[in-house]
Amino acid sequence: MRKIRCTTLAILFALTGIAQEPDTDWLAQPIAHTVRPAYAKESAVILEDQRVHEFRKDEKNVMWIFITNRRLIKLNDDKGVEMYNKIYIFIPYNTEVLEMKARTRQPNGKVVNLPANKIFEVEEEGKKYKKFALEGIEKGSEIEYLVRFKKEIATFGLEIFQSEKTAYERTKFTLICPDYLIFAVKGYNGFTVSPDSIIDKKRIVIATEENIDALDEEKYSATTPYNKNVQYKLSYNLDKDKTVRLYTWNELAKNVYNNYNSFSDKELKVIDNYYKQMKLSDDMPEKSRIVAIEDFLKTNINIGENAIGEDADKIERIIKTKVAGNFGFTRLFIGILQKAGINNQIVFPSKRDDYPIDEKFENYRLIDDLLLYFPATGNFLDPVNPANRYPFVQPYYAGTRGLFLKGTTIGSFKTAIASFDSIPLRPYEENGNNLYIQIRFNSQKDSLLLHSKQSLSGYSASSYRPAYSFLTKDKQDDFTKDIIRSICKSENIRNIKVENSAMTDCSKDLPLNIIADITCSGLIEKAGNKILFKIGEVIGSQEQMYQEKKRQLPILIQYPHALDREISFTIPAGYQVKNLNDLNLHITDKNAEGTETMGFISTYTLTGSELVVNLHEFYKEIFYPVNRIDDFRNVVNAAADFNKIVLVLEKK
Amino acid sequence: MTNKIILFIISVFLLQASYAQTAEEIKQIFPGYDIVYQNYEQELNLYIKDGIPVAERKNNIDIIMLTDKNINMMSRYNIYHSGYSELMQMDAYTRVPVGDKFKNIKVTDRKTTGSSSNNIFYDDMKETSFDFPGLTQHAIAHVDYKLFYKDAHLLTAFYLPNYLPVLNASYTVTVPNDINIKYIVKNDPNGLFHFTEEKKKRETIYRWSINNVKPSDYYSNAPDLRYFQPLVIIYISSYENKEGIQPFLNSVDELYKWNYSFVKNLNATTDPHLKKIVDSLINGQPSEIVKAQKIYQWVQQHIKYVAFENGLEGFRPRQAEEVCAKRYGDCKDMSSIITQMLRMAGIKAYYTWIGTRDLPFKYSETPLPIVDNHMISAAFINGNWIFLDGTDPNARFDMPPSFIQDKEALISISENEYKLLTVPVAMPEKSVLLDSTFISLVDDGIKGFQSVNYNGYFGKEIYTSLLYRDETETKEYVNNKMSKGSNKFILGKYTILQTNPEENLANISAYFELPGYSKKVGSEYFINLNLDKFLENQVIDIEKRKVPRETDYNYSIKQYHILEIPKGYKVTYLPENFSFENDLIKIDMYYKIENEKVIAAQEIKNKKLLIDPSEFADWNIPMKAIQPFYKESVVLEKK
Repeated sequence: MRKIRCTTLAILFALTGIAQEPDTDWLAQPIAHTVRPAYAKESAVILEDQRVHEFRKDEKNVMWIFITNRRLIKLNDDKGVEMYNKIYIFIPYNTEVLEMKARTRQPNGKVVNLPANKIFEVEEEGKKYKKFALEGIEKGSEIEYLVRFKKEIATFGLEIFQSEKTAYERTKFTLICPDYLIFAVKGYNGFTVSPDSIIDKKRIVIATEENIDALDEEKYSATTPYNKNVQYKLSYNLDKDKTVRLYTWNELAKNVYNNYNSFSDKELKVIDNYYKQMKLSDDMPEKSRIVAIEDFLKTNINIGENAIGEDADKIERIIKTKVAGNFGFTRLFIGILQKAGINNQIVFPSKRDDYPIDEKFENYRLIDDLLLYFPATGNFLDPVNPANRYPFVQPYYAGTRGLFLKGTTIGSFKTAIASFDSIPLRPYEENGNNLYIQIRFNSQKDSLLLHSKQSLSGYSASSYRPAYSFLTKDKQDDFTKDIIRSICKSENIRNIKVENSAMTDCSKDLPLNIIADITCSGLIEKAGNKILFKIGEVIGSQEQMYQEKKRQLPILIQYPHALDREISFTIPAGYQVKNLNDLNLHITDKNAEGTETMGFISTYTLTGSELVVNLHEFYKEIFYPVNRIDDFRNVVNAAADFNKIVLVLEKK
Repeated sequence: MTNKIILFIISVFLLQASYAQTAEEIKQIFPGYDIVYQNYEQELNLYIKDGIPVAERKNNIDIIMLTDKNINMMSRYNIYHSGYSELMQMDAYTRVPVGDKFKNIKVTDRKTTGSSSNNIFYDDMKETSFDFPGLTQHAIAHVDYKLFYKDAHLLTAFYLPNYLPVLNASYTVTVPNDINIKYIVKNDPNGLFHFTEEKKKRETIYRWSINNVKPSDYYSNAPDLRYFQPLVIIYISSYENKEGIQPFLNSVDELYKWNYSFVKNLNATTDPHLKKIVDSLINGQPSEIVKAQKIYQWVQQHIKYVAFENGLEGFRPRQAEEVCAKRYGDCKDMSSIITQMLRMAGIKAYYTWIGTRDLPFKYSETPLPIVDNHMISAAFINGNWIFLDGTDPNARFDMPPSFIQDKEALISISENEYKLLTVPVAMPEKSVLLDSTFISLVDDGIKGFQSVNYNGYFGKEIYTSLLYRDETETKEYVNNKMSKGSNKFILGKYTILQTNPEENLANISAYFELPGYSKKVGSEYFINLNLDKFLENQVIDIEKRKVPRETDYNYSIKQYHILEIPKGYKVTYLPENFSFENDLIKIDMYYKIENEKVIAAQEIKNKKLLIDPSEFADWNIPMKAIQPFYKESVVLEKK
């Protein structure tokens, strides 16, 4: 997570004695364990995962978090060995490793300790790790490792005890702090937290959970929001004031607002000059000015979360070097908006595919990427994502609630207050993936001549448009041809026309159109003197969902969308189609109020030799509970059914 | 006005003039490209230091932004270095156009981190990264840096950069008179490299230059870039120091001597623990072959592959005893333990260096460390050489992994003796996929039962895939493997028989349903019996593709779809047969009716591992010809 620009992390702590190392059940002589029958077939099982976070002072009276993590894993088979013979341990920023040890207990009881010099320190993608390969592992071995960290204090925590691949048998999280501090500790998705106890002037909170199954990724789902986890935050310092709740949303709002909205005189001057370069006139409507500012900034400045150098967030430097970190870029953006007199608010979304922000539990740890909200237009903007343009933000950041920082003035002092509100998604009809196509046979009847128009709007276009800004011309052409080839595989594609491919066209509600003439033999097959026309294939290959095992997770759709297609086909003279009725499909689903929320409807009309097939496929909602999986699957599979439709043409 | 100032003004003027011309010119040369390497220069200086040859390589790079697009892609630059190629000096800046002049913005921040390559758990590669500041249209990103090679054995070849076009590239090698070199230019059939040799009093300067090179496109089934990208290899054949003329990498003899230094002290003693394991494995086994097989399999099953390449460790195998205790090792360690265990069993076994197939080089052509990247063990049993690769837990004893087929193996017989042998290529008959699928027509499609036998490399893939899969993943795997016809394929009950792990024989059989496949209209059924179209869309665009086509191994596929003719129906249309054979491939497609069944056969034999662009026309003949045959349906009609 990115650091929140918070200056009030320092809390005054009173003096306490230095505590003992917490006990972690690391035995001098490890014993053998039997895996629970339910997990006996798993490749590996985490038998024990213990984590202790202790807030205490060192000899110099400085408060730290002392973290101890211990893991014991049973490796049942070769896959388990392959999964866990190499261990990576992430070393957080500002953390000292006090101790690290690891060992293998072979099935015959022999213990192989890892020599300390076999632990390597590496840095990958800006993150530090310790890594080691455990020695002496065989099938049936148990491996165990323990790490002690001394970490700069952070008063928020998120500890996750569930994975996609491996089940946990026993887990335990212990939070220890001086008795004058009160942390709020909350378990999610079934993690149990027991009440505080005070022993020897230390407040101890324990959270446990047993038998946590691996949570597999499923189609149309996100596992993260459903992972079992425990979170904590500091709420009171009894030594200071028993009645003042610490780290509230309003306090966050105040700090964040200040970090993003206050500029030095020098910065204001730089922003002023930069704004002038954009040459915006004041009589442009607000929407046009937002779009122009966004386009100017995102085109001219390279945004990189890990831009190298301390100055990457300084506004003067950004304008000079055109390279910015996320924080610096967002500040510059807000500075320009202020200059242009465009009212905006910072919003932290509770992302739909991530750990949700709990409105009643102020865990700053989950405050991460931000959006800008424009009260005048009611729309949002994704400041640091070059691929998303106003009013489209990353789809998982919408269709959810978010923490809005509403600007306010106290006297002459500008600040913000926090409130939660919803971040709506753009409605389904704005996200179109449409196809209009006319098809006829060539004179030899061995190929089809197609004229196609693929028309993409809203989110459905957002994954395509960047290609037209970022790829070289010949790669763009290949890209366009690949999109066209979803209709039919052909090398003979002519008269290609791409309309509205600029990034800003999405802000202007213009659909990305790809128009072409195609000659294609792949859609027809022969069966003696009859012709088989694979009409369904023109809608491109379609997802087929199977019912393999019981669905675990609710259905999550990125964004509501519609797919409208019109296929016109001229039946060649002297031929007739015997199975037109196959083209009729009608699968829809209604919610409790009787509104159709999703569906696949296909109908046809035949006028003389002109066959016109109309398809309407739509998904209006983004979330369905587990028990709606069959309904959802029926609609998705209807499209796959259509994709298999073959018309049989025979001579009259 | 002094002459100096006049000169300065002229040079500024010239600079601008040439800039304007160049940017426009470059656009003409590389239409459609946004970013181009304007200069890509390497200067290699060889010299003698402390009596041995060393080298300094200076890189001089200018990258021009022709448009303001894609600048993001170029702003981050990485320089790779290691203990063997130490980064000595670096300077980087952006030349930003301001009006009609340039202003330099220096790179001030840089970061050096470890750089682990794929599949290697730990190595000492490092990368130094920085961001080019102020990139805009027509800006030029400049970086120059110097690497020091303290061991001249480890010089790398001169390659052109990938991804982007290169306007001017050059490789300048300065060789003092006390050093002799050899060189070879590869993959340059049209002589694009311009070569000059300039003899001076104290040194000779060799220079290769090349202009206007477009990056090669990426293709599936393509071998490593080094197979087709132009490159220059230079190496020191001998040098002179106080003791006189010293051969360096003049021939395989010298390379072998260098390689041997890493195994000289390996496994000098017999570890009793390891000996005990060997004894228990070979106890009661009469033949050397079986003994060797037992030992090899024990290593495959007990020693896991984990790669470490840390400094000298990158070349020096660990003691067999240590590898055995740790239960893991990299290729060198596997070579060490297999060789040692075989020797303990009284079998002639040797440490062996080899390059995997992604390296195109040969010891006999370039006797250099760049030829190999791998170690195996070679055993000599009953007059035959057997190549044992411990890194593959499923390789058959008599069939080394496909990635070392056709590669030269450098076998260490003794301090002064080595052998150079080529690992044989397995014939297509050695890897057979035999698929018999029985189909019957049902109301909304077809259902059936398929039984597929795998052997050779096909079988090995099955064993490897199943080794690391749990129950759910196995089902998914079987589903993918057996799925055919369309994505409506529904897998029913299935059975996996790992018939003979040592021979890599396996069988997967499964019931399935395929709704929507086959069409019933009126009194007729239509069904395309090519449920798998192995050779669909395999025509190569000869105009475009200049890159060879590679297959992992030669294979035979024999597939039979057997359709039961429903009672009361007769076959009214049976498609034609198709046969073809050349040096690359053999294809037979045929239909026949036997015992109320239609049999549709597809037999394919892939005969060559690497197909050169000059052979693409031969490849395309059958690939074009077969397409209409894939589109034919069988018609059944009610009697």
